[in-house]
Amino acid sequence: MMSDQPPGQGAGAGEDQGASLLEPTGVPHLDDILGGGLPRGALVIVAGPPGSGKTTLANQMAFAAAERGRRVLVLSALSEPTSKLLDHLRGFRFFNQNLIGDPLQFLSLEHFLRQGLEATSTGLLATAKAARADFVVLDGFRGVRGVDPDPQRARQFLYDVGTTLSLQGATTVITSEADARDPAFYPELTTADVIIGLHFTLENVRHERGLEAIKIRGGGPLPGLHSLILNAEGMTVYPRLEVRLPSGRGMPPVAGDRPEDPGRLPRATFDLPELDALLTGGLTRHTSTLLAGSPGVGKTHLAVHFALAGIHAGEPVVFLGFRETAAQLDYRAELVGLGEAWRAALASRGGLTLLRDDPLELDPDQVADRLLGVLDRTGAQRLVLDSLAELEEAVCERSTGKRWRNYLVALLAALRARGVTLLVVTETPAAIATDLRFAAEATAVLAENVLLLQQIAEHGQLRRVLAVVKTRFSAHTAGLREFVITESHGVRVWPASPDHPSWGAESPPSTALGR
Amino acid sequence: METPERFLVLIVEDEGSIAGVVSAFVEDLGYHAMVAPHGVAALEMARVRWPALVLTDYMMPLMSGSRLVAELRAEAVSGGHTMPPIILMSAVSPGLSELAGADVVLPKPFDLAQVEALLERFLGRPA
Repeated sequence: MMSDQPPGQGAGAGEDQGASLLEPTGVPHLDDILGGGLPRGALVIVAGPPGSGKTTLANQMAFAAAERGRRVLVLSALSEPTSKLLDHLRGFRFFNQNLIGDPLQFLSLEHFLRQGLEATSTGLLATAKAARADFVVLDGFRGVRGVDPDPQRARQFLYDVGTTLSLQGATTVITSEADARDPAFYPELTTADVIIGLHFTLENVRHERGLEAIKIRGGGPLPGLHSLILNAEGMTVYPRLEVRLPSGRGMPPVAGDRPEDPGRLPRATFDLPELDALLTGGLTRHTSTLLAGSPGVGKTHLAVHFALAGIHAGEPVVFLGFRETAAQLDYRAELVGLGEAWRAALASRGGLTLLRDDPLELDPDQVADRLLGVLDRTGAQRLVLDSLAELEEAVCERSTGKRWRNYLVALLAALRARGVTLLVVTETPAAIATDLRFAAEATAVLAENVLLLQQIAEHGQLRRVLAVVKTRFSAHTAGLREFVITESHGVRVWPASPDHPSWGAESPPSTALGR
Repeated sequence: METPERFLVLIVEDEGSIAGVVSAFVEDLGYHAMVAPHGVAALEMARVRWPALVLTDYMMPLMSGSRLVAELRAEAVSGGHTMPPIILMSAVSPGLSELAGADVVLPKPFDLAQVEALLERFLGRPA
């Protein structure tokens, strides 16, 4: 089996040489988590409770290896016929009937198991040799362990099988129904070069899956628990966003080093002259802006303006929404005279990519992965996120509230590294206020710029007002500005009135919505 | 009196449960069953009692069904035996089954009625 190497010497130092000794798992993103893939000749244990996906994961790797031309042997110690296993696997997209038989074989160890551990080891190794297998899966180590209750004998079995197969050049994956952190399992774990732990729990009414790269001998896996999805594609892993950044693994190379000084780049405008003037020309590039406001005040309309301004400037834009459907956004744009521009932007080559997820059992790492993938694919320079609450809910639902800040920091860093200017919508609780209030929540602290929208009751009328509360890398004009939402031009920000907070002689036209 | 070998069926299957069910069924129909867990054992059994028909899995430990068929052909030539009909029970693709030199492919999971029909076709009904 593999010799110990200094930690962190896997995919890091000597990367070119190290990379050739790793083989891909065929499971999306799992190679990133493992530090490049499975070390060739390694003994890999996949441990997890019933239903956690051990068999699916191991067989997905087996099919991927067979597709790459490796000679693969899947040996079952489970108490079900291999035909049943094949029927189960047929439902997954990674299944390829043409591989079955050659180069991928499915065999049962039942005959050998009846004769004891030693016979099982001998039979297994002889079969692997006869098949010239260079990727071996042993599915159901519990069945093997059940033959002899002595844990030392089980450990010896693993050692004999792992060593011999490694010497023959084969990578071996063994699935084991066990909690990878159960001390009773430790004697077996010490034999393994790689340990992958699968988690499968019932949280309230939801099943939640996770994957942990517990040990990679000689390598540096991405730490912690990562999201795991099981569907018709098979297994897909989504690395935890926070740990993707420091190592750079799992993050595609960013175009250039973004050496431009954001302060020297043209501002990201709203194409609303009064608002852009308040911002000294627009938002500083590569910053994040919180667009906060009470319900129904016009945040999404303003966000649409920001997106369309980017399109108008020739910049690709991504709009990530959790609230309104595509049809609702289209209707909203239509309502304020921006429908044609919106639809043109969404058309092929229009420059606007609309991503939409229902705010239902969202997986925050899956959302981040999809978002960053689209940003990289489109080269988008502006991102609108509507809204922050759903993303926060998704993070806090699956972990403690402590994760939210770290997740947000990681997301903002990822966006900054890509040179994306972010506008994120968030709701403030008060619908109508007689004075502007803004609490310095953790979210606001992280955002470089804050725009606040509210409805104010004045002289028996409701007025919409906005204020630039904060800009970190730029000057801005403080003070309230009234704005309206028109049927023909969307949001219109009125010039400053000479008397603050009263509004002066110029009144908004009667076509303004909400009046 | 018919020699038992005329109705001797060699069942080669690494999964004991399937081998058990098929052999019991074959015996119930009046044929005689020999069961081997893999190709190596099957070849040894055949050298002692030459079968009239071989019902074999394709994917087996130690020796695959394809290799077993090739070995039986060689044994038939050297021993002066008639090559028995080969029924391949397997989940492999049809193309691979053809390469194995089987006379008939019985895709898994199969119906025991299909086994009965094939036995009758190749061996006739025992008295």
